[in-house]
Amino acid sequence: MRLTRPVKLTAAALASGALGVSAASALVGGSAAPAPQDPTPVAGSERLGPIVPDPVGGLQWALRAYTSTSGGDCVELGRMSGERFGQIDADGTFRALGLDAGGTCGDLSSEPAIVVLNTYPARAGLAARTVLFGLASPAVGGVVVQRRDGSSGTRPPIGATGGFLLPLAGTIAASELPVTVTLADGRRVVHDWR
Amino acid sequence: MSPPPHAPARRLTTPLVLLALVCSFSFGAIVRIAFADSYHTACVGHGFVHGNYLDDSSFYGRVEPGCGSTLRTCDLYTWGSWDGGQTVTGTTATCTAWSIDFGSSYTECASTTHVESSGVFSDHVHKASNWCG
Repeated sequence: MRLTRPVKLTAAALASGALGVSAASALVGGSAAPAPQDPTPVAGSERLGPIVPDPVGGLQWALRAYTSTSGGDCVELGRMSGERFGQIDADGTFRALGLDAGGTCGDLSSEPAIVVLNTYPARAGLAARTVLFGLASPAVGGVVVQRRDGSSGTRPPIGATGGFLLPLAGTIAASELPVTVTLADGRRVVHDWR
Repeated sequence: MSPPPHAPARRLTTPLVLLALVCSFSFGAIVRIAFADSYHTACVGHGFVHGNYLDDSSFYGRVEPGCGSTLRTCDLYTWGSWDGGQTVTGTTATCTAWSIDFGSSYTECASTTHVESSGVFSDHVHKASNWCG
């Protein structure tokens, strides 16, 4: 069978089009996204604390540390209502939370501390908050949070869980809260959020 | 010597094929990026991650560590309004802003995460995969 010239041209255009789409798919965005670090907790690995007051009189803040199934060191920030760990909904209602994959996970065998800052906007009946928290390895002797506004540094205590926690009123940019982690041997690691 | 009778058609075929290649490459790039709206990898994985369901108000903004990043940010927005966010420093922590930690009852399909990783990619937006905003 003899193909006409328009048919040949169309076939060539379609073939080159398919080639182009394949090439673009290979080059743009790279390969498919790998599974993110698994924050799924190991049941029974959770430890609660420290628990500290809210700066403007709300429910206490707390950390829940746990080990993930991939071996990650994880920490979740929450509020306490009596003995229950949970969160406050947008309408101000406390909701208890079971252990879930909601924590922030890192690797304390690779760096001495995981340092995290959560910011919460003001909502109906709830003032804005900034909460600095994290997990420290046993090699850490202390944590100091400076304020670039010139006020003196704050030393949030490191709890038995390795967690440290500093809730502050208002929304504060991370760059305003440089953190110095001092190791037991005297070395210092500065987290200046850059 | 006179040119062969089909020479003009051949001269036309090559540019046409090249044009088709360019157009289809562009199309492929647009399609690839559109489908990468929710979560993708640009050196490190980052973006919007649904929880157990697409509509249970449980979702995450996430930025994985790596590629030399020392600062990662993931903020959550619903209907364009800021729900809250997280910043992590250091080299191993995954930025994980979980909607439940910032309140409940957010409309998941109208939510986005704004993510940034120092030295890896600048601030940009990832939408829910079932975007309805």
